[in-house]
Amino acid sequence: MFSLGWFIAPGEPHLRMPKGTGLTLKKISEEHRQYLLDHALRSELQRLRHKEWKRRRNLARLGMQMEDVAPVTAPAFGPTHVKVVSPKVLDFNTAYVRTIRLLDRIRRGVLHRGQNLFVDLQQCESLTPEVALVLAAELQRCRDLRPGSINGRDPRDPTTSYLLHELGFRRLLGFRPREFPTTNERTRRTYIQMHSGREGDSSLFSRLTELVLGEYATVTDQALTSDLAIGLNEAMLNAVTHAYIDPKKLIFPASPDHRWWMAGYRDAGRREILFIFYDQGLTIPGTLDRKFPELCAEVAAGLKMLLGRPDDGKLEEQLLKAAMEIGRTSTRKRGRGYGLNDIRTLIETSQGGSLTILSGRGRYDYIYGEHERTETLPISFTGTLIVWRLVGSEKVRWSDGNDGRDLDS
Amino acid sequence: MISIAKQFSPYPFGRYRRDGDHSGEAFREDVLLPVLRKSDRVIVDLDGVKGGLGSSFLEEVFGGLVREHGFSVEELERRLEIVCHENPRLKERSWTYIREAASGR
Repeated sequence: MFSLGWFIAPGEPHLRMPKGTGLTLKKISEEHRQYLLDHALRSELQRLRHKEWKRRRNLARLGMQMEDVAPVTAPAFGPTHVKVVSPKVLDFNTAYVRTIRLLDRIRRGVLHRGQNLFVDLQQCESLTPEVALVLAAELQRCRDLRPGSINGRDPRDPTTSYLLHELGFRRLLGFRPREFPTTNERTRRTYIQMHSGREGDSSLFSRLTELVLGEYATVTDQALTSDLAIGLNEAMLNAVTHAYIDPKKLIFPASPDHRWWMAGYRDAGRREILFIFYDQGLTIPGTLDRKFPELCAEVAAGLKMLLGRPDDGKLEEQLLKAAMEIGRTSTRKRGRGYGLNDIRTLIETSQGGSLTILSGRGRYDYIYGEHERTETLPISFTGTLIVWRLVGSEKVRWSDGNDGRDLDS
Repeated sequence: MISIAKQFSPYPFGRYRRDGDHSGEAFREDVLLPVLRKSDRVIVDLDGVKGGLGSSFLEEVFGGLVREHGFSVEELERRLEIVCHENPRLKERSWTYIREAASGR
């Protein structure tokens, strides 16, 4: 079905479309439809520019400036919105640079250049839940700081579009809800819809374990439940209390109330649990010097000796690595910094899964039984993203009566 | 015996008071310390906590006894017992925090 964006209900007046294009658009070719839309947008932009010029001219005649009168409110969707087209694949693993560029384009456009954006996801054919959460967080920040600055449309690909729907993308952002046809097919995956909280708000904390494990919580291994709760506790604590400790250091203005976001899913068929936590605050490497100045100085000195020149990306990677090691080595004092290790302990307890952290220029990956490594990211990641994946863990007992295997048949 | 879940909160969270009402600092100062000052022997029960006991909370409670209130490891070994049947590693960890706080003092 033809839709003109997250905000505009079908049939509502939104654009001055060329005569005869309205509801018959679906009958014409995709290229022609795109051409007509672009043409309509260009014409409308030209009309608005002329209107603005006339307004300035008339005000000047009266001896007034534009600042003396109320600004014209931008429509929810219109030619004043600059179109940002998504790449086909949005993934922090396989298409990191392209994905970050899209997010950067959105935040720079709205927060630095003052643009209104139309985020066109139609071309997107593959989208991971992690990217969906970070994208939603970015759009929410832009909308919070500049209401009316964001509109867009869903991916054309039904699977990708459905993923956004299941993750509660439109619900979180207050966009017009979209109907999806209900099927009788048994769903294997239960999504934990996107939630957003404010700095210092730990009210969701009491429901975190329940949200992540759902009805399985009662029969899951007790030590794992405890470690899961501990890991969630620490991930949330980091976002709630440390991430926005010095907002002046942030490149982009922080969202009001210093928000954090979470989402995930449970998949009984694949015996998999995914949990994602994201904040737009200061990165882990960026806050480590507050807690461990000596450690940071040591890492910087070691790196300088090794490379002979300063390298910010490498330094941030090494600082993230050092942050993950605090708590496992008993050399660090001052009683802080054990939290990240709690997050890793969960994977070890469950004996299956992985942990990925993206923060600043550092990326940390831990796969149970395989490897633990860090790498320097080519472009800085804004904020901190924590992704846990528990896969095939023998310790997770699924409460569907037969360990989830009936869903495979 | 002090049960964190029953006498403090089933959802303890955070290190400092600014992190929330049920922080490690609040438990140590408002619940644990008064009892520790009155009694010769105190048992702290970690079981029954629904939200999980994060390292930040535990370190602030037990490490804080050494760091902020000057207890020694020997004194705490004599007077403090930590019980956790649900996740025995938390008991070990709590003692590690006490020893690490003492070695860093």
